[in-house]
Amino acid sequence: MNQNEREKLWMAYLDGQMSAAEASAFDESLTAEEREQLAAEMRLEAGIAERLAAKVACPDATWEALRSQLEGKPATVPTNVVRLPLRSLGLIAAAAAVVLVFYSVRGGDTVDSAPTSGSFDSAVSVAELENMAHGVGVEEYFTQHNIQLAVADFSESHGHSHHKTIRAIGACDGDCPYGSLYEVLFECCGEPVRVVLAEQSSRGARMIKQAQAHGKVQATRMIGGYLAGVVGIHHAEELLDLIEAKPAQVT
Amino acid sequence: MDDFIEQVDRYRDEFYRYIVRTAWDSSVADDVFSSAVLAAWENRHKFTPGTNFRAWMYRIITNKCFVANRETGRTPRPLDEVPEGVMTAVADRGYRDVLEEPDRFLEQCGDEVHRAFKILSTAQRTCILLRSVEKFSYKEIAEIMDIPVGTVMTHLSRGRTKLRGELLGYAQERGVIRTMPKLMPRAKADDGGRAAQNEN
Repeated sequence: MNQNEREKLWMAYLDGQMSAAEASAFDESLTAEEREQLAAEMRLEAGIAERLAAKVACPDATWEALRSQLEGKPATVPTNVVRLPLRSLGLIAAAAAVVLVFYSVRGGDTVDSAPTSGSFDSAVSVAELENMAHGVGVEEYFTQHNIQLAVADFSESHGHSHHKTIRAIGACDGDCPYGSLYEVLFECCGEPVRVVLAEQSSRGARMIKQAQAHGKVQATRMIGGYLAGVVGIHHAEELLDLIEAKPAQVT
Repeated sequence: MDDFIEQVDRYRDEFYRYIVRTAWDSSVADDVFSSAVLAAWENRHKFTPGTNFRAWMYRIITNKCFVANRETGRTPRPLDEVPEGVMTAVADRGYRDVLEEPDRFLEQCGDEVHRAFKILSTAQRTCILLRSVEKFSYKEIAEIMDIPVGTVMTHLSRGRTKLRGELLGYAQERGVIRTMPKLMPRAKADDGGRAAQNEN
């Protein structure tokens, strides 16, 4: 038995991860000195665990805010207690209310106000994105809407190697009252991320730029006549590398 | 819904403590906790009733902690600085002194345990917390972290050795250990510490 194997047995014994028969056999193989060392190791490990387990509790305010949210009640906590995602949800709701009131009074279609909800909402989950896609694949959606873009093969190297996993969920219409906005939905490292698209110089494109100015869009890029922007809490600008302009067809 | 809330309420302190100890930056604990509970809520249909809710939650929380730590972007020390394992550490004369009175040693280290623990990699901290504090089996830890059992054991072994090394270094600097190892010829790992013993 080499040192490494002996080391693993030693640790499994220390952690109580051996069967009774294995533990008994291992125990018999120990010298009196080793047995003493193991007992001391166990006391040391227990002492370390006791210290790591001490002195931390979930703040009541944090839990109550979360509980209220789960129960569908308004959260009533100090504003400095809960940051993202609860605080951002509150801000988004407040901003959405302001925008609604503004439009109901003014009745215009300006894009001067900051887009803070719909396509630029970072607080949606992967499950919600899946619902939004309704099982429509990206290529299928692009074809249906005559969008001259494609999603690159993920197996190709696009400089996104630090992301653990990337999955294209699908695509859907964006939430834009003044023109066409499209969304390509991804799960990146287990987190929801969207790439919003609008034709160059359209109102949708202006909306994306505005959202970027307000920090709602991580990054933008022009791709084949479309402005693309990344939306999500998880930083994944590299998803823009996956959207490509379709090569012009030779007739 | 009530069941879900009741279950999270039951374990919320240990979940929160786990996040505080696992995250590089413990100030993100509120965010990570909230984000993990909301993610679990949204995916509660994926939980199989009758299975281990606590382990299922740890899997989600662990993922969130890894994402948070990745975004913090802190680089742990390279692995080759870590000795092979606890048995190697035992060969150290100073460490043998520690093992004579582990409780006294830890008492004298005080909060140094927390500082030293933060030096470990996320995977090492996660494995130690799940095993030594939360009492999960190796198999359960492997499932929570989605890694092989052998890798769990490697993280545990390296993490514990590194942690002991940090605490030992601290104790030597502060003179907590009665016999200062630098005054004694250091025992080689392969002689089981007999050289150091013979010095007495």
